Order: sequence, then structure tokens, then C-alpha cells
Amino acid sequence: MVLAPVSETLADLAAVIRAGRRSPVALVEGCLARIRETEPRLRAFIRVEGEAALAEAAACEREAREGRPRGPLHGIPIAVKDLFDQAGLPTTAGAAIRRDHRATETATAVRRLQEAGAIIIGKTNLHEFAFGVTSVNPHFGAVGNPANPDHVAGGSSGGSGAAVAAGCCAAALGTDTGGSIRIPAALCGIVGLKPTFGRISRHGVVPLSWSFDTIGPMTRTVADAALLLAVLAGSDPEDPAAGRHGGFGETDLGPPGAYRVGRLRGPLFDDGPDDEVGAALERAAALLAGGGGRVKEVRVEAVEAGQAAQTTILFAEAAAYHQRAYPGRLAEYGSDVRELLAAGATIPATAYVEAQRVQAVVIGQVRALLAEVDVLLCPSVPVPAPRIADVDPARGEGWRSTRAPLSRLTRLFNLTGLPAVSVPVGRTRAGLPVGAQLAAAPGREDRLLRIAAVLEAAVGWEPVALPV
Amino acid sequence: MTEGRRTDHEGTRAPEAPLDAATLRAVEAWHRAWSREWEKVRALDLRPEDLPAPLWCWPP
Repeated sequence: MVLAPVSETLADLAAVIRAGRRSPVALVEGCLARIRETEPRLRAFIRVEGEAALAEAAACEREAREGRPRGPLHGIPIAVKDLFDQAGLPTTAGAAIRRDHRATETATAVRRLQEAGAIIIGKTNLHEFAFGVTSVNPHFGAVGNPANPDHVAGGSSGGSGAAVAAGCCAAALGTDTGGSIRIPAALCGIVGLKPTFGRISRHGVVPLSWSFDTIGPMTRTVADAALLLAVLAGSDPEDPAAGRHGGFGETDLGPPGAYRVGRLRGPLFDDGPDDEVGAALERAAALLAGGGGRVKEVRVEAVEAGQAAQTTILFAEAAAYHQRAYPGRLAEYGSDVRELLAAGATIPATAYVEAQRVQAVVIGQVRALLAEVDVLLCPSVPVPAPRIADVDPARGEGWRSTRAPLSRLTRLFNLTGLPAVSVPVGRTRAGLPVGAQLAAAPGREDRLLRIAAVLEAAVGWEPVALPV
Repeated sequence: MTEGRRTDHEGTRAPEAPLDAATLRAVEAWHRAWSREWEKVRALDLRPEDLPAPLWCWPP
């Protein structure tokens, strides 16, 4: 078995690379060997840039020796979801329809990683066009969960989640429109951060829904997520929605001091969480209380209307983005995405406007709650990872009933634009990871990540790559 | 081929093609489920002053 090459935090790893005590070439070789070993079962990558990554690693090694590090991620191998453009490479978006695409520019987020010294090791598999939560992809294969490859990794950033959890890279980039970072993070047992809407530029990223699309890091630890956010956040003239919340400089996650936790209850949150997920969340709430937090129960009155509004806006915008190709080339889409796009095209314009009015009501309610508490708490996903065989559209109808539960508890924070993070808090008896979700006020990733770090430390989660 | 951000599947509008019967049935079922979910919006009793306000309308 090839051992996972990364066991340190990104900051520690960068420090030993800068000091010349760790070879970026050996690190990349270790990642490539791990990818070769796990890929037959995980199908986490659409493209691996082995030669280019090794050449970059050699350059990083030379620069470190000469005392010229590029930035805080110097020599660190990172994977990106295949939704981000990299000049000269295809951005498939997990779709057969884009196999021949060639990007002419590099996405701002990827460019920022490269400028910070990161080595892009490959592009990860995803749910087709990011429009789904399982990453069972009819064109590039179903992404397996490193905890049990017969189960899904979640989605849509499933390849990124699986690659980080299996130790194929030190961290990864994902995107989140209805939970697509937090769902795979929870199901794979890693940390997934959806920052505040507008924190990170979306320039060069294939859209799903402009009102909600958000870029974010998928990492082994909360500290790693903070470091990546610091590299990625900031304004960009190419994305008018970016930069409203400025950069992020809180990479040193000290104790949060006194803090208040709002445990979300009521419809959606009390609707049938799996027993083991429910028990894991109870433990998480107790650990946060034990770590100095005051925990109380809170409710969002219009949360169900908000859920309907989020569906309406997302589906209508997805249908609008695809209207030039769909349904003209419908045979080239997977059967589930084909149906969902057709469904989105049936939404009346009046409903789209009403949904934006509901969005404003829910944003107002949630912002009022966040004047009373520092963070909101709920499970990231109310059920453990389902089996691939049960949700593969090619093998039956199970995907229809799986979609809603997997994203039930993440979408509120896309509707309201809040920063939200999934932190691993345990495993089911079958060994499948469970994540707790924390969300904070807009722009308060500093507070969010400090409290998340308290939970991470209290849980004692070891981000050890699974054998697969 | 692409120019800047535009992608090949966006570049040329594909001719319209009819949806197959199975997809149409699935869409009808989806729309019925969506209509049931939409009842929660009808029940919300929005006021005239509740503006449509996407996230970029809100102060940071």
C-alpha cells in the first residue's frame, strides 16, 4: 500500500518545504503514487497533470533552496474541481458535451493558488455540471467514498472530497451552490468551507446558479481551510460580486473566547435525521458547550418557504445558463441532469421574482438570529453516504429520493449567503463519516473558523488518509 | 472553440429537439412536487414592501 504523503497541516508542510527539509518533488511523487493506487476504486480525478506537477515541484525545490519561496503554499500539491478553467486544458465540468473544450484563461482562484506557490496536481471528478449531490457521473464514473468505495463521496465536489480524504493531495478546491462543498466534506470526513457569498472570485468557473455559486477550500483541518481562504479571498475586477467582504487575514486560529451557539430546530432540522447522525450532533453540541459555548435552540420561521425559494432560483438559473445547448443536445447530458434542466425551464418568471422576495425575508430572519448567537449549528447532511448502486440513475429511480435529503440542511446557507463549514465529528457503526455544520454572520469567517477549531479539537478527529 | 469564458456548448445555439416521453413525465412529476413545496411560499403572506433582493443587494 502507498502511504498518503501528507500528515502535517498546510502551514507546517509549507514551513518544512521552505526550510529544505521536505522535497516538493518527493511530495508530488507520493501524491501521484497514491492517485495511481486509489483511482481504480475512487474515480476522483478527470485529469492528472503528473509531468507538469513534477516540473513545477522541481522548480519549487530549486527556489526553496535559493531562499525564494513564491508564497504560503510553496510546493504544496492541490487538486481543483474540473469546473475551474486552467489555460490550455479542457474544463469538462464533468460533462461529455465539453470534452473538447479548451480554456484560454486561468480562473482567478486557481491563479491565486499558483501565485501562492501551490502545484496543481489534477482536476477532480464531479456531478455533471455540478447539478447534483452524489457525483455519480455517467461520463467519468461514480466517485467512490474513501471510507467505503461502494458508497458515494457526495457532491457535487465529490472528487475533491475523495482526493483529500484519501491523501491524493494536500487540499482541494470545490464549489458550493446548494451544499456541494459541505456535503462531500461531511460524507468523506474532511473539512469543507463555503465562504460568504462574494468572498472569492468566480471568474473562470463554469456557473450553475449565479445567485448562489461560491468557491471554497476542502481540507484536512480547519486551520488549512483558514490558510486557503486567506490566499483565495479578495476582490477581482472580473467578478463584480467578489470582494464585498474584502480579504481574509485570520490564519492564526486562537481561542474564540466566550461564544454563543444556536442549535437549529424545527422543520427541516428535525425531519428524520438518521439516528447515528443525530447522536453525533448531540455530542458536537455537548462538546461546544464543554468548550465554553452557550448553546440554545433557535428557529428560522420561514425556513421551508426559503427552501422552495432556493430550489426555484437555482433551477431557473441553471436552465437559463444551459438554454443554448439544451434541449438541442439533450442526448449528450446524463439522464438526471437532463430531467432537472427540463424541470428548471418550467418555472414561471413570477415564481422567480417571488422567490427573491422570500430570499430577502429569510435573510432578514437569519441576520436577526445572528445578533443573538455567534454561530448556528446543525448536521451537514442528515444521513450517511448512500450506496452508489442505490442512487445511480442508470440503475434505477433511487437518485430522485436521495437528492433532497442530502442537500436539505446546506441550502439555507446558500440562500442567505452565510459562511458555513462542515467539520468531521465521528463515524457511523458502519464506518461512514458524519459532519457537523456551523454557520456565522456574513464576513465572519474569523469567528466561524475559531469556533470550528474548538469543535475539531474537542472531537479529536485524526485526519488520517484511509487505506481505500 | 472558446473565446475567453465562453464555452463551446454556449457558443452556438443548438436546434430545438423534442423531449422524450419519459423526460416529460418526470418533469410533470417534478413540477407537481415543486408546486406542493411552493405552498409554503403562498402561506408566507409577503408584504408589498418585501422587495426581491438577491445577495448582492445586501450590505456586507
